[in-house]
Amino acid sequence: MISKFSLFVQIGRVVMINQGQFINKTAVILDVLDQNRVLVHGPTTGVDRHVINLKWVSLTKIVLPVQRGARSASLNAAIKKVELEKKVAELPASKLIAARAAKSALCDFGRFKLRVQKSKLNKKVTGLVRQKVNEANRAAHKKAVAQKAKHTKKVPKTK
Amino acid sequence: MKRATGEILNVTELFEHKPTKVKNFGVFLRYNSRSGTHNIYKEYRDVTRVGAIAQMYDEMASRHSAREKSIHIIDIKEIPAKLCRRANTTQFHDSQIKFPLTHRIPRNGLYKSVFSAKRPHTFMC
Repeated sequence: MISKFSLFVQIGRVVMINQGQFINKTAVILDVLDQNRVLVHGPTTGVDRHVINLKWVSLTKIVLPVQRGARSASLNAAIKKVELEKKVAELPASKLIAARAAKSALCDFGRFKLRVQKSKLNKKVTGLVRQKVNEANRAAHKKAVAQKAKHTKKVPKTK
Repeated sequence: MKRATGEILNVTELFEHKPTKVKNFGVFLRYNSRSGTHNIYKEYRDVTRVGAIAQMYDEMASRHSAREKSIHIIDIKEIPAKLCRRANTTQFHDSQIKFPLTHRIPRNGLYKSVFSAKRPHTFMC
């Protein structure tokens, strides 16, 4: 049977922690206790080796080649080998977190500037969309007129 | 334990030698159900004995409606994988274990508010 799933709970899977003390940090699954809980460790991200509920994490597409219950040294080596930090930074979840952090760090003037930029961009987009729609409408109108002319030409006039 | 059925002689906090290693625990216990007394054996996977016993109390309350006062723990042992008997324990004895999370409920961000314009995506492949 072909599975539709591509993300699995497995030894070495890198997870993003979404709740609790280690929120927004990544860790690696090192053991599976049962269907709800796993043992995770993130030596480079400051996540202690501990048991976490799978409801608190989201799976990422990164899997490290580590053994079950791997010790810190071998885990560190595996992390170094695949340059995990770089890979993690490229994850959409990490980008979202970084963007949120940058936004919340803005001062009042920064938020104002953001608002102005956003409204400028939106106006530009609306203008472009309107332009395209108008063009399409015009083309459709032209086509309709041409077709109508063709149609009327073909039909001979009857007295 | 109820005060009428016994008396606390000693209280010792249990510290684990390796609290970051996943272990299998076998628990022997006796409990009083509504109709009689039973001796049973249960297995749990946890990192501490305290965690395993907490799991046991939860399970006894849910499956057997047995509260703490009617449960008497006879023994708890860490057991090697090859001596585990319960399928629910042995199914996790696999270093290549692999399973998807089929139904995910997002708990932060967009879906914190009561009403939302978007339906959540619960299926994550």
